[in-house]
Amino acid sequence: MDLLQGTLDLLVLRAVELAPMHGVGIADRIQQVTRGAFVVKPGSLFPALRRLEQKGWLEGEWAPSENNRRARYYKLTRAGRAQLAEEKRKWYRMTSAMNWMLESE
Amino acid sequence: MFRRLTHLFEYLFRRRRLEDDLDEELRSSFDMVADRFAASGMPAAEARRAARLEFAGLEQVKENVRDGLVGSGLQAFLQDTRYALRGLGRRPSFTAIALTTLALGIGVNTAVFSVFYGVMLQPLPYRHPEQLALIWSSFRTAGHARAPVSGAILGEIERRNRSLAGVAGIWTITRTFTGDNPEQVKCARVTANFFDVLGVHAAPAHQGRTFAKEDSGGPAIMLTDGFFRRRFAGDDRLIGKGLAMDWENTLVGILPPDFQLHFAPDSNVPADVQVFDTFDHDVYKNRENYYIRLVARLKPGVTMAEAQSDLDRVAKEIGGAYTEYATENLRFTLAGMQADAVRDVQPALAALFSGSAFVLLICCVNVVSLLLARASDRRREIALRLSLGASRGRIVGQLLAEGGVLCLLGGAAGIAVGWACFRGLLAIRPERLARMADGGLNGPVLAFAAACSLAAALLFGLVPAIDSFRLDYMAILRSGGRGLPGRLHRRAGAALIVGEITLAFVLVTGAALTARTLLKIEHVRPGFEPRHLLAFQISNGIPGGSVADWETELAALPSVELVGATSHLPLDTDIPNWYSPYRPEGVGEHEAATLVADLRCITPGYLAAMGAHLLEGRYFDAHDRAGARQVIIVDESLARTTWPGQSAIGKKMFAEHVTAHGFVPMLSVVVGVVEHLYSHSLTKQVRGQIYLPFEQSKRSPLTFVLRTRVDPLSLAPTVRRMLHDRSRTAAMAKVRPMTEYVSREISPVSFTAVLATIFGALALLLAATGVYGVFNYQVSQRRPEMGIRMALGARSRDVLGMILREVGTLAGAGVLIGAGAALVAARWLGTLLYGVRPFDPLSYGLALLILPAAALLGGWRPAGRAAAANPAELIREE
Repeated sequence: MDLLQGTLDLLVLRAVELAPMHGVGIADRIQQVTRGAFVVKPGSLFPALRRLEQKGWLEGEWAPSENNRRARYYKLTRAGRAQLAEEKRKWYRMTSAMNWMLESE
Repeated sequence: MFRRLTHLFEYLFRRRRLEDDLDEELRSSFDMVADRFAASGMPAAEARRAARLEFAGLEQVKENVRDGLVGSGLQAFLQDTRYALRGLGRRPSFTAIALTTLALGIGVNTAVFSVFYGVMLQPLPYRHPEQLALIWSSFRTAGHARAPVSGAILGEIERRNRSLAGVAGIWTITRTFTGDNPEQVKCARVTANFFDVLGVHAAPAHQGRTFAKEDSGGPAIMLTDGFFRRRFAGDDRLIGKGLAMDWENTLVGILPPDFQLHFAPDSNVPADVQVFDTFDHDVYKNRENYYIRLVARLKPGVTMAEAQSDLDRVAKEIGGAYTEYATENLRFTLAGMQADAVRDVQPALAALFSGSAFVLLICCVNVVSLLLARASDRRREIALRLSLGASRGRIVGQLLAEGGVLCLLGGAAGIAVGWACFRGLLAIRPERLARMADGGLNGPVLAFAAACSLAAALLFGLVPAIDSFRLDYMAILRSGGRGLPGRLHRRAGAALIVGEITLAFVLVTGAALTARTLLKIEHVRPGFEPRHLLAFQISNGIPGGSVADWETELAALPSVELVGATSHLPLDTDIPNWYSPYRPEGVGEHEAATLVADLRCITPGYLAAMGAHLLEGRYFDAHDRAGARQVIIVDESLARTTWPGQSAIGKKMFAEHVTAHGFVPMLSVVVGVVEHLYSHSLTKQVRGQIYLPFEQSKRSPLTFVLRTRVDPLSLAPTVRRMLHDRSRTAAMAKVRPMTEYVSREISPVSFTAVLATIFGALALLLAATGVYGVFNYQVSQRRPEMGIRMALGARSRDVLGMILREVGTLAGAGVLIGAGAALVAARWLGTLLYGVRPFDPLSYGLALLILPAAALLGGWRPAGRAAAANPAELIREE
């Protein structure tokens, strides 16, 4: 399924909400949790990560990965957490609006 | 914001590290993915290939990341700028022409704006000048919408208003400093709160103070810094002491060096007052004399409109409380102090400012046409880059960068040109625009120049960019990048030429109209003959004899032909005008209520010395002395309106005389009629004039006029010595040839005319070069067409004619539109014109002839080039 415009940020932020994660981990998690509906390619994932980091919502840090490679782990900042809450709210508002429209008689 | 800035900083300066970071992250992620494939049982090489597929070209990923980062735009911008600089360097003649044109346009505008800023916009040097306002009164018998007020009214306004933080009054007189080197000075009488209202403090360097309430009517005086330094060498020990003067005084303080009065010329408060003293405390009781000019400070937060309606209420209340105003319809008008001070020069400056903006527009049009020509030369390059995958945004960025670099350089050169022009303007600055000296290259002026350049840069970048958007690059590449500019570019070029000629037409007619105005004003007869006339002023009477004695002594000088004196010299705005009601005999008080005339006391020889023509009757003579029958001379306009179709001689009227009891209306007989002496301006008869014999109505100071056979100023030392011989303490002031008063009136007009002429000439030159540029390019693009035409039998003459006809058509269209625009603009110019109608056929005829001529001149060489070409070669080029 194609990603809706603007939803990638929400997906990434949500993926790292519980624990810091590296890029590949984030892509995996999005794919798993959405049961394979969204596959995020590196070509869009890494630009998104850097962009979110620049906006101050993520913070990158080098740490050893589970199989002992050096990996860049991304952690949600305070601003990121606030942003995630905001994006969630927006998303719910939009989906319910969409639902009302689609389910109307 | 801050975070973004740090990221920008990191991006620009630690770019290497960021790139390394990114490399490592991508590599490790790649490895992780490869690991995962390997773990699922793939052979190592296979796993890496699968991972590579996943990452779809690492370089591409990196590129994507970079594009998304803050600062990458800046990086691209720097690159574009370098590229633009290289591009400009490669085409030196294009660059030189574009830069010169821009520098000229921006320079002229910067210079004119610095004049405009210095005079019109720069805040007056007082505290919160925007709260300062003048109050003018008008009432039925004032004969003037901007009349001063009496002391009583000042008091009433002070008491009754609710919107003003303070009201102060000022009036100017003359005083004389006695002592070894006697000197007559301008002295302003002010209310004690005057400097508090302006928010001016005494110069702290001299330990003095400004006036306090108790100083009213006392001996306290203040001096301006310049005068104190010049006459008293800035000696601080004088503060608190009395100075040698025709007036008992105590010096209490010195004004700061930058202090100056800023009033409109018609308020008769000169800028170069040197001494200040205070009104008597009973000034507030005076109900008869209207001579006090008012300055008020609005309470903080009060708007002009609120204060005006407050004053409307005050005027109504006064009308009710004072019987003399019951039927006078007394009103007060509040005018912002700065706006009021520059009211008379505002139209001229606004016109000049718009004229210079037109010049800049024409310059921009020229550069745009150059850029368009270049852009179509570059179509092939742009098309190639588009087809190779460059984004349109990136290409527009590059075109903008080129425009930007051009304007940055042009703006810098323009500021230099502007500074030079401004120095030139300072040299011919009229006295009325003295404040322009404070203009120069200050912040606002530089900001203005920068804004001009920026606007031009956007224009220059956008026009070629829009052109490139409409590009069908495949078609261009197929055609070899030639030949296609065709219709679109020709239409754009034509529009530019028509626009340019329209603008130039407006400027040329404007220049012709103002130049003709100047010629008319220079030849206007002001009612007197200013050449060979020396004027000087003496206050407090003539020491050791009568005025008549003194005149006899002067008349005995070998090079003096005629001598006379007046209380009010024409065109001398320093002395407050004297105007009063008059009533012809047989006219009822009520009907005469609005009759007001300018009054002047004169000695018998004055009118003859001035060279004023006597139209009827006689001049005053020695028999018209105190105690004799009261006589007057009136000017032609008053005689004509009062006794139409009749001789004025022998008619009687009540006119105000100066007596021991003040100003008193007395029945007087008209003995002469003279032509009108233009007193307030060279172009307007403001009021009728009534002359009184000095011996029957004495006023001081007197201004003497000598009609001389030699250069008037050469007599000045002799006259000074004669006065000095009579008294060592008497002084004369303003020893000037009468021509100086006249040229001071003319100088704002000639300033405008000189600038307008420069604008007109520039516009012509630019229009000619603009036509040349556009046609030169078009001819080079249309060579194949010419070749084919000539191969089919057209002669060079036909080709020449064809191109020139095209030029002529465009010029004709431009001139037509321009004539319409000029007619609109001229109506607006109306108040600046004198002696020429706004639709002066001569000015329009000149523009009608000269502009097409300039256009044809510009088109001549390109046309010649097209006509001289060899058809065989032209076609072969294809």
